[in-house]
Amino acid sequence: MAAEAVQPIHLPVVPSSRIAFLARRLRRSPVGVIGVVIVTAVLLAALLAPVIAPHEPVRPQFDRRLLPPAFLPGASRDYLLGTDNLGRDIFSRVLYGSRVSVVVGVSAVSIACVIGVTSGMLAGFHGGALDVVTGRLVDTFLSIPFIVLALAIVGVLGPSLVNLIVVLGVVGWVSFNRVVRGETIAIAAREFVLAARALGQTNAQILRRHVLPNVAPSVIVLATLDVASTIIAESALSFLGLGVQHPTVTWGSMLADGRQYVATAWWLAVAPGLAITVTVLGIIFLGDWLRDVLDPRLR
Amino acid sequence: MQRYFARRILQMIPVLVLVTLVIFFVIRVKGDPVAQLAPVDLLTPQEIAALRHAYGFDRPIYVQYVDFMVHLAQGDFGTSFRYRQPALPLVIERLPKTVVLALAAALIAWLMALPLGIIAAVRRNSLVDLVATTASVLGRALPNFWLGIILILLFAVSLGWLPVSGSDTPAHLVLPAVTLGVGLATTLTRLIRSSMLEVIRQDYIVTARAKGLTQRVVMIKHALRNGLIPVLTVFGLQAAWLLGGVVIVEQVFAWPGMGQLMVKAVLTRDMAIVQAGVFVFALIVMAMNLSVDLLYTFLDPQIRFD
Repeated sequence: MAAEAVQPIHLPVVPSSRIAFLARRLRRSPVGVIGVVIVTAVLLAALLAPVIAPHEPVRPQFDRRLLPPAFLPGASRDYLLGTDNLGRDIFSRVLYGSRVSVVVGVSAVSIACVIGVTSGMLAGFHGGALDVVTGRLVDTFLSIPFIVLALAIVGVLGPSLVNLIVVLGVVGWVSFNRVVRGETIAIAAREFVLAARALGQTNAQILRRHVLPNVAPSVIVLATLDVASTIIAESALSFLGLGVQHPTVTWGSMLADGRQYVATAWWLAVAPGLAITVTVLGIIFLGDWLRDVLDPRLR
Repeated sequence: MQRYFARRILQMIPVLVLVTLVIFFVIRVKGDPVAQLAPVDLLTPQEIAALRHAYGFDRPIYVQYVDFMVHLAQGDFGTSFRYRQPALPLVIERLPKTVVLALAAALIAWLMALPLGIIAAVRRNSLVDLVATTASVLGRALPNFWLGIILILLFAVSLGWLPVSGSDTPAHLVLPAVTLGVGLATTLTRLIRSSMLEVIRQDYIVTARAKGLTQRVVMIKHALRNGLIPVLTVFGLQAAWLLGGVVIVEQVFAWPGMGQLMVKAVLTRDMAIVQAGVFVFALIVMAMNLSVDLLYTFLDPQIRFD
């Protein structure tokens, strides 16, 4: 096939086996290992919550209200992290809460990524009026605090899992657009793009075969780090009462409950907050490590 | 320079118009805006039609937008149905509380980040550097609403030094401002550190040292002034992030600012206040970005903007 004659130029990242390469690099990075371990643990918790959770996470048990964590005096050994104001096992709820965070984080970032990468490549490649219009749109989204805009739209649409994903995805495209646009401009000026054009490739082919593979490393890094900030945003909206609604368990709504009992039962707020922080930390470690491996220029 | 700022302000106009479009369409994303203003499931079709007519929602969309803009130009965002008052004055009334909180947080952040970032850069790999880098990684992962609750737990509940929530005395400001400030400080510290590391290697710093100037003078008069420029750029971009944080932290500490008003308005579907709130927040962010640009010229006389 003639079109195969011009190979897309990859960064020097891609040897015969990507997985083997990544595994080799991972062994040299303790931070990367911690990141991978935490992220794997969170994914397993989300996937296997019904299997691992020792108790039912939603049904109230009023005779077991506000039991302290198992390592404190007066605790029951059945409830590792204690129970909440309705007698529900906090450990089980933390496990179940990971599901919303994982689903919202990954789905919303996928939406943001598709919108941002597409618009960024088109704006960077074609320039002109399209670039000006997306530029102004980006300025607009940057002028309204992320959480304020998300709050307003969720308020109108009504809080639900799908609405939350859509809103966080649609509001979050800006960072992808900026990074991809900049890189596209640089790539479009390179010789291999000129060569592809001389060979008669269409703009769409050039974008798909030459630009996309070259922006991919930055996009992967950005997407990873974006999952972290999206999980925080989702928790914040849940904390404000605008996340996925009862009976679905979310870390943010657990924190909102915990805020009420902060003077009497601190463990209600500590456990979900720790879950968010550790999860986000793991994703950041993973993202930082990916950046070192995939694109050292970004450091 | 005046020309530059004239141009910057002109550039803000299309963004401002787009912001109004966002606000205009936000209450229409679900189709019928009447549903946002009244409990439609309790009304008869006739009543709904009458309401739609009363609010002008039965007119063509562009007529509605022009009408919206005409009212907006007069500062009229409609009436809050919960307070039965014009929405914009209600939002403006809360503005001082929000501004005080945001400024206090920014002040705390700079007071923490400047010395920490400079020392971390000058004494690279020292204990201070280790603390600064660790803190800045942790700061990226700590959600401010959780940090707020932990601070309440420590300083209000356990130690009893500070009030849990409210805004009656200056003591009430401490915990919310620290909560926001710490988050911002971690980002700033990281930026100041890396920017200073960059600057310290430059030739003019070597020259300044060779002239026999003390470390202190070299760092503060020569390095810091240039090192701050990239930091300031990012700080300007953080304005929106800071205000987003204010919205959440106001909720944690029952701080009666714009954010608290907006969250309550969203929960009660008081859309006039939501619209006015989004608009005022966007104005503040734009004003902060513009002031950062203005600050550049003081820091670096080489930047002329023409």
